[in-house]
Parts: sequence; structure tokens; C-alpha cells
Amino acid sequence: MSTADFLTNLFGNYYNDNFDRIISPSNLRKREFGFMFFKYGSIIRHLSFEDENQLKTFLAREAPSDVFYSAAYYFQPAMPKMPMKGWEGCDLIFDIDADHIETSCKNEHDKWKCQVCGKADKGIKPDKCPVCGESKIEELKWLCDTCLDYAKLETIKIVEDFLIPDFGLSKSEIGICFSGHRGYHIHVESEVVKELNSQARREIIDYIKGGGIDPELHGLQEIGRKKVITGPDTNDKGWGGRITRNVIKFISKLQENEIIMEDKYTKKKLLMLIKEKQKIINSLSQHPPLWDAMRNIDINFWFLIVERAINMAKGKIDEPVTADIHRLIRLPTSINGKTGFQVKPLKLNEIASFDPFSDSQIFEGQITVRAGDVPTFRIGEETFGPYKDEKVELPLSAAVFLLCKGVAQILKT
Amino acid sequence: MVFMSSKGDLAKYPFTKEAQKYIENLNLDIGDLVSPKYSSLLRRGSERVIEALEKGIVSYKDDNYIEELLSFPLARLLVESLGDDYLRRRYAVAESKRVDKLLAMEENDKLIHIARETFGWDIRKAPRQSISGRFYDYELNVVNYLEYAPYFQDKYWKLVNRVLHRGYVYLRKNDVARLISEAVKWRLMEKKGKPPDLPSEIKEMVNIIESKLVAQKKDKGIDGGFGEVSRDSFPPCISKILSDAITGKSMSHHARFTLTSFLINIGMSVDELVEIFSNVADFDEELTRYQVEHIAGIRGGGTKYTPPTCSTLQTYGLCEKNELCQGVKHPLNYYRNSLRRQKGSEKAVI
Repeated sequence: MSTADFLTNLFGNYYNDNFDRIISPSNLRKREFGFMFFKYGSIIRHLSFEDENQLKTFLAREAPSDVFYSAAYYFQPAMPKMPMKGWEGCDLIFDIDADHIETSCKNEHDKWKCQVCGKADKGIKPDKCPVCGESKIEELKWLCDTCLDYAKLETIKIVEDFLIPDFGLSKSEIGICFSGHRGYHIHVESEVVKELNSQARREIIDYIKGGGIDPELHGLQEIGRKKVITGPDTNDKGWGGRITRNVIKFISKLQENEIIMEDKYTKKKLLMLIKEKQKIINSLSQHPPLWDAMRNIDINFWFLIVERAINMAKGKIDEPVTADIHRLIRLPTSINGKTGFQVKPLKLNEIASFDPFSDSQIFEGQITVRAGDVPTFRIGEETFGPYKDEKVELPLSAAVFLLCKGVAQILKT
Repeated sequence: MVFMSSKGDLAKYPFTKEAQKYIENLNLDIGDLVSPKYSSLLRRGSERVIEALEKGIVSYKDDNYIEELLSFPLARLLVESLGDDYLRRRYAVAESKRVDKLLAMEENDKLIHIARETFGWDIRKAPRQSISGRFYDYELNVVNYLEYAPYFQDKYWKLVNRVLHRGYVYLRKNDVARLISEAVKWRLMEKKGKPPDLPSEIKEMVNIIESKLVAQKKDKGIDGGFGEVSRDSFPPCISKILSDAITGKSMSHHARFTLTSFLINIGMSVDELVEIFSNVADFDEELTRYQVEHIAGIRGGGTKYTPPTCSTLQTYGLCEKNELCQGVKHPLNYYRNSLRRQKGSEKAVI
């Protein structure tokens, strides 16, 4: 049996056995669907379903490797061209992906290989091969706790710091799920956001990412001939309060050994900040705050600190996903064909304790596979690998993960 | 009704639900308008359009309320009968400026009334408390805010620079006046199609406006070229943005940056560029000059910027790919290739 056949059977069984547990999206008939298959290279899209039963029967029968539906609602979702579909609205989607967050562990576990000259290295794939200059480069993106924990914290931050307090969304309008690979998706389904156009969605992205933010417009400025510095209060609504709270957080975390890389001028000022830490934090925490407590911190230095505070406070989301009002997104409760993990819907209070390497595992049993070049990975409580061209007996979930990643094969019998 | 009850209000804000209703109830048809009784109304109607063309803003005349009110739909009829995009936009901008100015002098309640009744916005009075040292008059639902604010170029209008709390944006009177006037502009920019046969008196007015329009377009070089700079060689994305700028459409920040950096890089002067942007809806000469000079490297860090690559333009939704774009990764490369092709064909002729 080929690896593709094996996975197809396995996925088909999952959809068959879990017929009642598969979630179908709201307004099903207005959604476009797209699928990928283990035995077929590209995505098949522009499909639609009459009802839940038809969708689930399709999943069990065709056993796709990946299942996507449109965040958009269409008058005729199965039409082959966008203008013919009749766009009626679109959920607001956020994609928080470790790919877009810099974590140092990627240099340890991600790999790439030039298809032309064979040059290979660890770390993030370059645009062009440094040896031959070609851009045909294959990459292997691995998953680890560090990357996924980071994405998880970002997800919680976006919901709890932005969507609920600032955008006024209620918990019932916000759906969260683990993507089954390197991140999390947030679906906002509400009548008011449905009609937002791309431009409006870009403004929302900029709001969350702090793009184009001007601290002066949030009150950080010098006033009068005496150049008294004023700034936002920790209790201020929106970004103003967020800036001050994060400046305090930045200063309180600041350590002497962390500022070695700074230039001479900045280092000198930061050292002063560390020395007077408590005094500055106290002055900024007052209502109204005292931004002027330290005579030798000028406005330009505050701008520099605020910039760093904003970097801590902003939410890291993948822009094109949110801005695209025709985007297809993974169906919650389907399987991600890149890993064999479930695209797992989560409640807000479940995320913190959610462990993707345990809680989205869906296969049970044992199997022996031929592993190629495999970095260390964890499934459940157990850590596996590294392996190098060897036969290994593994729990089914772990084996499926390697098969989906293309770093192991089913044994030829 | 407490607000929008006086004829003065209807004359000032002829786009409101109440004004539209009032006009409807008069039950007039085009024939009525050309009777001698309404001759000054006709004059005021065409005056509105000519003011838009020549001054960029329509005035408010309070000496005859009914005439001021009725001249609004008449002016729109004149604009629509010419069906010219440039004129339609210029007229819409000029009417919106008039509204902006008038609204800024009104009571808060009147703005709330217009925003709710005519545009259906979810807006209310803000509590009287300062945020970051500022007081606000209104809270507007963020969804309504995002209908128009993204089209303003100033960073002041970016959502990230506003106070946003529980789904509402905190605004001051000038802000709401500006948003309402922008909504008016968008309504006036909707094409209505050419009206049916018009009485000769109105046709005459249309002809006068048309001759002024043609002269102005020629003056501004709207259909002409740039001399040194070869406009025929522009990539389709730049041509599109440029025509948006010249016809005075609102433009995103990305579009402005792309156009400016492109034109600066092929040798256009700052003055020429500022002139191009002078048609854009929220034109501010000083600010535009500053920004153009910044991109040209005359100000700021001294870096001269180059336009974004094709893939970035795709992300911004500004790409207008045609068959000549095959294999091109940067708009400046397209221009270079295209110039070379042109020179080549000249040689072939010689």
C-alpha cells in the first residue's frame, strides 16, 4: 500500500466514524468549499453543499487530506469565477501563525534544500539559494512547543486585549481553533462585521499590529514653553492606556545584562531607567500620570521606549488572511493534512491549558514505518526521535504526523 | 420633529431624508422648473456646478431657502446629463466641502440626528470625561467609522490613532462633520445615468458647463501628456493610479506612495507631482509637498524611495497585470523595458 493510500483510508475512516461530530459552518449553502487530496496535487475549489449531510457524506467518501470553506458568503458559491459568485459578506478572520512570529527555535528545527544545486541548511528558507541563486527551494517546517506556545499567547492577547475590550465583540461572536499545524485561527461571526470591505479590514489589522500608530496622537507630547512632557494614563481607553501599561511593563522587565547590544547613548539612558525603575513606574502609575518625573528623560527618549512598548503590546497576525474577503479557511473539526492533527475548536478559557501535541491527536494504535531524516518531536507525553533512515514502531498519531510531513513512508510489503 | 424642521436646515442639508421628503411632496417635474417663476432657481443650479468647477467648493446662500434646496437636485441633474467622471467627482467634493463647513457650526444634537436618520449610523453623545487629556463629543460605532475613514490619508484618521472602546470610536464635532460630508460625497459620486430629454433652457445650461469643463480639463492637462516623461510606457498599475489621482478619486496611502515614488524615480519634479495630487479629494498642498519631498529624499533621512515590487503591489491590491508584465518583477523595470521597445521601434522605422 502506498503512503497516500494509507492516509486516505485513515482519514476516510475518521470522517465516517465521527459523522456526528464534524461541525458544518453557519450558512452552509452560501459557502464555497475547497479540498486537497493525498493523491492529487492541487486544490479543488468552487464546490458547494446543500446541507450538512451532503457535506459529511462527501468527506467520508472522498477522504480529502485538507478541508477548506470560504469565510465569505455568496449568492452562488459554486460559480467558477469570483465576480459570478455574488459576494454577500465575509466573516472576520485572524490567522496567528508561528511562521510570522520570530522564534529562535526555527533555526534549530526548520530546514530547506535547493532543488537545483542541492544546497541545504537549517533555519528559515531563503528567497534565493545563496549558492546558485535559483528560487526553487523545498522547505520542511517543523512544530515545537516554543513556536506553538508563542502563537497561543498571541491568540489570547488578540482576543482579550483587542477584540473584546476595544472592538466590543462578545465571547459568543468569537470562535477560536487550533489550525492543526503551526498556529491558531480566530473566526468572528457577526452581522456587523460581515459587510466590512478590504480597506476597513486593513484598518483593523493596523489597529491590532500597531501599524502607523503615532504616540503623539495618543497624548505623548511636550507642552508649552517649559516643554512639560505629558502622556496617556494607564486607565485610558484603547491604545493610550495600552501604551502606558506596556511602558511600565517594559521598564519593570528591563535588566542590565539585556542592554549590552544597545548604542552608547541609548545604553546610558536605559541604565538610568533601571536605576530609577521604581520611581518612574510609580510616577507613570499615578492618575494623572507624571511623565515628567525624570528631568533627564527627554521626549525623544520616551518615543524610543514607547516604540518598544508598542512592539510588546501589538498582536502578531498574518495580514493577507484578514484583508482577503474571498479567503478559504480550514474547517474546524476536520484534519490538517500537513500533520494529521485535528483542527480543534477551543473555548476561550480552554486555550491556556490546550496542548496541541496531545489534545488534537485523533488516531489510536501502533504501526511501524520507515523514517527518513526526522528531528525530535513530541506526541502526548512521549518524545520521539531524532531518526535517520531507520524502521521505527510508533503510536499511530506519531506515525501519521511523520507520513503527512513527508519524512516517513509506509513499509513496502 | 425637533431637528431638521426649519426650511433653513433643509436648504443647508438638501441631502437629508427630511429634505428629500420635502422635495418629493412638492411634486414638481422638469417642465415646472423652466417656467419664468423659477428662472433664478435655474441660475442657482448651474451656479452650484460652476462653483464646483472653478472654486472647488459650493457656497451656501441663505436668501431664498426653497431655491437653495431645489437647486441641489437640479445641479445633480446637470452633472449627470454630462456624464463626465471628472465633473461628477469635482462636484461631489465641492458639495461635501460645503456640508463639512456648515456642520462644524451646528449643535451636537443636529449632527447626531443627521448621521442617524439619513445615514443609519449608530452614534451617541460621549460621556463628558477626558481621555489622554482630550474631551470627545461623540461615540460612533467602529463599523460605521470604517465605512469612510479608511479613505482619508492623514494618520489622524487611522483607527490605530483613535480612541476605540467597546466597539465605539470617540470623536469630536469636526470629525463627525467630516465623516458625514464624506458620506455625502460618496452618494453624489454614484452614477445615476443620463436623464431623459431636457427642456432647451436646461440644455443651454448644460452646454455652458460643458465648455467650461472642457477648458478646465485642457488647462490641467488631464487628457495630455508630460513631455519628457513617457506616459505611454507606464505599467498598467501606475496608469490606473495616475488616472485616479487626476480624476480626483480618494486614494489609499499605498497608492499615493507607489505613484509618487514611481514618478520621482523616472525624473518628474516635485512641483509636477503636487499638481497631480491637487485634484484628490482631501488635498492639502503643504502636507502633500512635504510627503512628496520626503519620498524624493529631499527631507527626512535623505533616502530616496523606490516604488514597491510587483508582488507587494499585488498584496496591496494595486496590481493591474497585462500581457507585457510577463516576467517583470518591478514597475520600474516595466518602464525601462517599455522605453527600450519604443526606441527599438523608432529605429526600425528609420
